[in-house]
Amino acid sequence: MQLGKITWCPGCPNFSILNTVRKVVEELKLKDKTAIATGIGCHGKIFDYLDLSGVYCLHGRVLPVMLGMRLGNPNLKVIGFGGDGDTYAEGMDHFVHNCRYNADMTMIVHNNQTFSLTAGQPTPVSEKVFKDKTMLIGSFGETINPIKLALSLGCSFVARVYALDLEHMKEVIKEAINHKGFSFVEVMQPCTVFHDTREFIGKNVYKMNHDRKDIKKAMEKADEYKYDLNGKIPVGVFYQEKKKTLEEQWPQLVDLMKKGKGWYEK
Amino acid sequence: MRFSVLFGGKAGQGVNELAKLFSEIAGKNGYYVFNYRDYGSLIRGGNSFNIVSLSDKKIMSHEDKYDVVVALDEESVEIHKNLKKNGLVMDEKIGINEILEKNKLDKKVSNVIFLGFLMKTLGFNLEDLLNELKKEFKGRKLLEQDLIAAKKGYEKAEDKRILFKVKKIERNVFDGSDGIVYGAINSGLDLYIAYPMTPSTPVLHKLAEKQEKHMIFQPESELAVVNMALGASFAGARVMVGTSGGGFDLMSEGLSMQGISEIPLVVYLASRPGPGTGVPTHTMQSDLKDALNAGHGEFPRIVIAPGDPEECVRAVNDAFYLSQKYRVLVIILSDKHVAESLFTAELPKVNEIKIDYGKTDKNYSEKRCLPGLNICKASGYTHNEYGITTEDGKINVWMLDRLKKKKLEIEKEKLEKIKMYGKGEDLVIGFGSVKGAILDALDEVDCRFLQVLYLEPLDKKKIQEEIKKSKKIYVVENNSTGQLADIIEGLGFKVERILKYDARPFTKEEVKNAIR
Repeated sequence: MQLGKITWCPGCPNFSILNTVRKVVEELKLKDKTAIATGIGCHGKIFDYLDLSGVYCLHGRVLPVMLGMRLGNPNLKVIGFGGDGDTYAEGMDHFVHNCRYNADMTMIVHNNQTFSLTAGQPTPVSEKVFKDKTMLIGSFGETINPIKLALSLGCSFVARVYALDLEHMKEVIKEAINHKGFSFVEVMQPCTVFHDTREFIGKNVYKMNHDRKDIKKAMEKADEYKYDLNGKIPVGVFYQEKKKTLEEQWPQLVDLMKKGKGWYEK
Repeated sequence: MRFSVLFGGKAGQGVNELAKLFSEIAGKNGYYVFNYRDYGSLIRGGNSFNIVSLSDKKIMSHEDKYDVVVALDEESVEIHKNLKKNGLVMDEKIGINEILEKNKLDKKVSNVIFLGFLMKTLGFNLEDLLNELKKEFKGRKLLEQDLIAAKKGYEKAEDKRILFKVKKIERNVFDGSDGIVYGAINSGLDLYIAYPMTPSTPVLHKLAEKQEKHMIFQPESELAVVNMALGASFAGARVMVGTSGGGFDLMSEGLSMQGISEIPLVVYLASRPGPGTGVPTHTMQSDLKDALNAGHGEFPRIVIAPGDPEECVRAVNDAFYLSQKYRVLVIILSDKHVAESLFTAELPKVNEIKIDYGKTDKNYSEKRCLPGLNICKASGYTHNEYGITTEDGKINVWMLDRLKKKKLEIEKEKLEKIKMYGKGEDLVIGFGSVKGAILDALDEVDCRFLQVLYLEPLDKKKIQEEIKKSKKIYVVENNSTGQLADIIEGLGFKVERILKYDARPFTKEEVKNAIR
């Protein structure tokens, strides 16, 4: 299959994410049973660079397309890639509801804290007063903490990784894909042009090591980093819980999963 | 011959239920039935009514004069005064309270006393009523009381046999929503995704009830609905979504996405009066242009407008066949009047739909591919034959030319795109729910009726031929501007617009008076 020519900026951490995902696909042997969904933004270009089936969605609609894929064939592994503008602004309602639906799929959010493909506007996770020569609009209102939000909504796998720590990112993404239920992995992916936090994140990132079943601890850890330029940034798995997936609650889908068939083969 | 009964009362008193029971029993006794439902956007109170017309031959519209008014509350007597000569009013004075007290019955079953009283007055058997109650109210807590109420109401009345007689042949009644549901299930529906919105909701409820081989899902919004549908259809499920105007507006980004990604999609659009929230529980045909144009960019689509339950079945069957074969958007354009009125009907058998998925490396530009079978990429960006994004102008032309070619291929499909009825020099043109009132009017006026079933692709040639044969041309529409009339005039003819836009459907009298 002929893939697309890469058009990310030189040095963009999206390259690390792409290479990591390629490795994960190889190590977990996902190629023939996977469908991906991507949003609109720099992250979405990964669609053209991965030798995987999928849908290049409209802005903000990665999650409903993923959920549709799961209902359309519950034997497909479904992995979504969204940006922070994509997931937390235009598609926030879908993020909220998919956290509570708990369908068995993995959502990877490339968080660069800015709309980069439209040349640097603030997103809900930009720090306040995010305004300089390249940032004309400025950020107003409170910054959303998506990790806390996901935890409060009952998301069954919540993690954060740093795009420039490839080995750790790979292990966490593998765990997310293997988790039965909705997995949310936020990748801190500094934009080298509009929001270059590489130095700050590189210096302050640290790996968590607490009991994953402890929601209180998870909340505390989530509170440590407020998406600004202060404090430490915990990475790793905040929380993991085993609970019934959405698919397991629909006998029609359970039947398809048992038979290893999609609707089209019935 | 026609005989009409109006059932009126407050929302929550069971007016619609009574009308449905009455329609079913009349059908079983050989009458042709049409049951029009008029209700407000509230759950308790207000004034709701149904008009059930019975006839010895097929009828498809209601009357606004009544032989009997069954008034479950006093307000209904005041509101519905349009009685025919010798018409009867049945209100609580027939002895409702007395029967309730004497038999220690729950007030909730008083509506069934009315029905018992009505059935005896008209000359129906008590057995038919009791059987229907047992069937329809199966599992209901108050069923025993319902049966007593029916009997006591029946005993209380005099058998006046004022209703004309017909041969006893069992006939069934269905509404347009039944037609959609039956058509979808029998066309191999896998997944129905919808957010509740009147008047599309009955399809969601009926499909939920019948879940076994298919499933239904209600997500957070119509944005989720349409994008989920694309994901599920991409993964190989046969998918339909349902909504009305406001939800359809939200879906329009998804329609456009369908156009470029070529993932098959069937949309059931049961329209209601707009703009905005409009008059949500009433009817209008004001979304024709929306159905034909919603979604940015240029891409092919099919729009089918059924006018009765049988046509709903065929429309869904066609929709699944065409959407899968051409990987195209198909919109079934209905409205509240078709979706929620009961017609005497037999739902037709449908064609089985087989899809050749096959193997392809060239994704959706070549044929239907499936993840799991091939590496299959569907994209919302302009893309090459492998589904990879491109900004190459030549490929943009190649892609849009392909979509245009698809439109021409669809036009060549053998489909019943228009239907002709009646005799005469004059011609009435209409689509969707106006069919019933027009056909009933044609019994009394010499005129031909051209029903446009396919608004897209439009059978221009046949429409032009029929118009050329005619003296006067009328276009009858339930909207304020004449959206179909605009399309017909675009073919080069002048037409007379017969428009109604009080958010209520045409009666045959209104059509008759306008075209006479």
